[in-house]
Amino acid sequence: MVILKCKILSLWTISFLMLTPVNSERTKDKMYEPIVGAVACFRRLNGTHQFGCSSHRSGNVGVIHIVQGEEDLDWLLHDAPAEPYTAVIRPEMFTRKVMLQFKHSDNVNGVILIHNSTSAPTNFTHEDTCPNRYSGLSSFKSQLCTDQSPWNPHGTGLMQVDWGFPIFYVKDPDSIQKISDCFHKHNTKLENHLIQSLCAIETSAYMYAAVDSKTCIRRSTMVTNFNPVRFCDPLGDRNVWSTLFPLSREPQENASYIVVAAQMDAASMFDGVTPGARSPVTGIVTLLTTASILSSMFKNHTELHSKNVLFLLLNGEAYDYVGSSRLAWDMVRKAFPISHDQLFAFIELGQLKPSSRKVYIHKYSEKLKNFVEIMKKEGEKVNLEFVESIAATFPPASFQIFSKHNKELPGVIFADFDTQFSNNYYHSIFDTAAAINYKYANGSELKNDSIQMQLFNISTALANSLAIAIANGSINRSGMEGNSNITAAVVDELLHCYLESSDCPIFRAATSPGRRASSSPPALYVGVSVWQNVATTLTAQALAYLTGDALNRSEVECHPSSEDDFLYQYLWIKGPVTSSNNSEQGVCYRSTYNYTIAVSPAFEIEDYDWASGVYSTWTESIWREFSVRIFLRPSRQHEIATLSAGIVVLVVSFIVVHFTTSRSNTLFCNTAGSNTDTRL
Amino acid sequence: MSLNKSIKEMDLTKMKNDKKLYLCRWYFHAGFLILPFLWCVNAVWFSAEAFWKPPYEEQKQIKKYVVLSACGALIWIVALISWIVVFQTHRAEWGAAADRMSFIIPTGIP
Repeated sequence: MVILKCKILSLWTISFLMLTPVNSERTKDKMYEPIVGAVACFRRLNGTHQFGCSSHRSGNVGVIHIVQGEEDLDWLLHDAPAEPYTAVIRPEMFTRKVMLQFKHSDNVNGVILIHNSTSAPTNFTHEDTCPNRYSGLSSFKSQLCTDQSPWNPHGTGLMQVDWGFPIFYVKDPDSIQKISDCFHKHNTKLENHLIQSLCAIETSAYMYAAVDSKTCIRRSTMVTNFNPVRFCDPLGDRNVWSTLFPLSREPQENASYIVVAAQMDAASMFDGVTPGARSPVTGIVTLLTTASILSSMFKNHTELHSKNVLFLLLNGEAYDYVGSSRLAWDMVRKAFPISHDQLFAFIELGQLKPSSRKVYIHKYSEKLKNFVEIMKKEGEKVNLEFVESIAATFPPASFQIFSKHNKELPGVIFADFDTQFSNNYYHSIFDTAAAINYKYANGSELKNDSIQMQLFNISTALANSLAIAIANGSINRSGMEGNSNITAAVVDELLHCYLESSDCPIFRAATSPGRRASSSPPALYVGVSVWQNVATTLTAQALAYLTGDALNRSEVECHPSSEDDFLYQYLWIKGPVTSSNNSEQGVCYRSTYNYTIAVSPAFEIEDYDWASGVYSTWTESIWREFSVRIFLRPSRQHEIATLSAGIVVLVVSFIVVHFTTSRSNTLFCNTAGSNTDTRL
Repeated sequence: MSLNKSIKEMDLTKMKNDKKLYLCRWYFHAGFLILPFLWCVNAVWFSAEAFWKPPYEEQKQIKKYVVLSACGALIWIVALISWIVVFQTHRAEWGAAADRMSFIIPTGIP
């Protein structure tokens, strides 16, 4: 009878539990509100140091404090009672002075940069005042950049600081609203910070690598290790090159090459936000346009020329010239078809957004006097004024690396600046289309002072000057200029591709027919060498498309063959969209474009001395995830109360269990001894 | 039943004295194969037999093995703790050598 009663009781309890409405939302989801679209600053290392940010393994938690001005800053640094705090600031506050105060304060364990307006601060560059200070020709007295006469005068150098905390950048308006609402609702009563619950933010960006590249590469390649972990990867990708005439059409021994080079990568403090409009996109676009004009000029000229043009797009240059140092190294050890002593001159396209009609010429050797004179004349024809820079030193440029290997090599840089950068957003998140006043014209007529026309004019002047230099006056120039059917629309389209959307006419035409393109612009950060950068592939294929020949071949025949000595690359791409061309059909393009590896020789040379500074040693740390979420952190009193309650419950439960065990027979309706050990 | 039997055999109170001595000696000898944990177990397990049980013929020998095992275990513990302290405090500055000694290299710190 007793047993029956017990059973009924327990059945009743179970059915009661089952009938209670159950809310299946996880506690985690009730507590946290994720902040989407937050991008992190991450850790990079060179041969001797670590730079950038990392959180604790499980993320940093800090009370949100939106810092609006000096007063807020003072309170946060000196009087804030409920530390740690996470400072939320706008770009105007993101200065070296403020950031270093945060770094040295015990009150702050994270920084969130928010920006949701369209206007950018007047300057915002966290690169060094002397970019690539320790590489290139820095050992030569005349090339020394100093803080007294810097190239990047607004540079704060914050990218070269090892922050002990995470820094995130949020620009999604909804996320900013969430943070702001939560702050205003819970955190504005400063005097109550110790006694009330506060809105806190958890920022998680844990970095695996530490110390320096030497250490993390050694640890990543350790073979005795039972638990192999990758700590960091070398920065690097591929360089892109092509020649005006295929290599075999000239006598190899006394062939000489005029190099036209541009840097291909941008940098910024934050992962994935490297718009790089002025540096490097203006340079890339000018180079592509120049190549396109030149190749259309020489399309039907098959006679031999004593000079050829080598177009070079160099990658990883923001990090101590990764691409150029590798290419120069390859040239010296004959791993590249052109050797370094075959280079005749080096023309580099730097940042090009002339504020007036002036373009500055930074000249490294008097040997190029003739060329510069031609260039000036050609510039006048397109309403450009090429002015020789009065700067005492040579600006940071890939040419410095080639000049190291071949001291006689004359070089020249075309740029929009004279003695210091006119780009106030060098290597930052604000170096965008807006910063160079670019608006997509999409076929409509371009104004004469638009960036598109300026870049097109520079390209035209350069292409004409190069044509004169190559042909040595032996062929009818006026006839050739007429041959070029390239217009400024190409510049407009290219800028659209690089600054607004990779799903653009030129990139579509230059990729295979079935490809689905992303609508965001290509990421121009060089990235790690184990991962191929999409921007590089797109640039290379655009170069092939703009300079190559369309062949009448089918897709299966579209490959290199022995009859052209494997001097060309063949690409099966969509080609230009015309009325007669079905958009899903492909075209076979033949071009001289190719890639070379852009990974620093430091990672190839055995027992390289990492502290020597000869080659770039930059690596990027591995991380698992970036996450940011906000939640309500209970006050200290609340936490103490919860803990005490927990301890009381624990003690009580021990007493209850003891009591229950000792009286289990009466409590659980067991007849005495029925369930005792019968195993004996 | 067989499980119960073997459990019962591990119970020292139900074991014959010569068996106890055999077991204690065996543990002591096995400890020399760089198995300090066996010495530790031996010292703890047989301490009651060696010191608190009424005297019997094999107890003296058991006592000897227990004391020796305890000493051995103690030396090991001291040596291990000092090595761990030295290694952990100097790991970062030893650099490559310390990395080669490690099975698991911690992430995110020097």
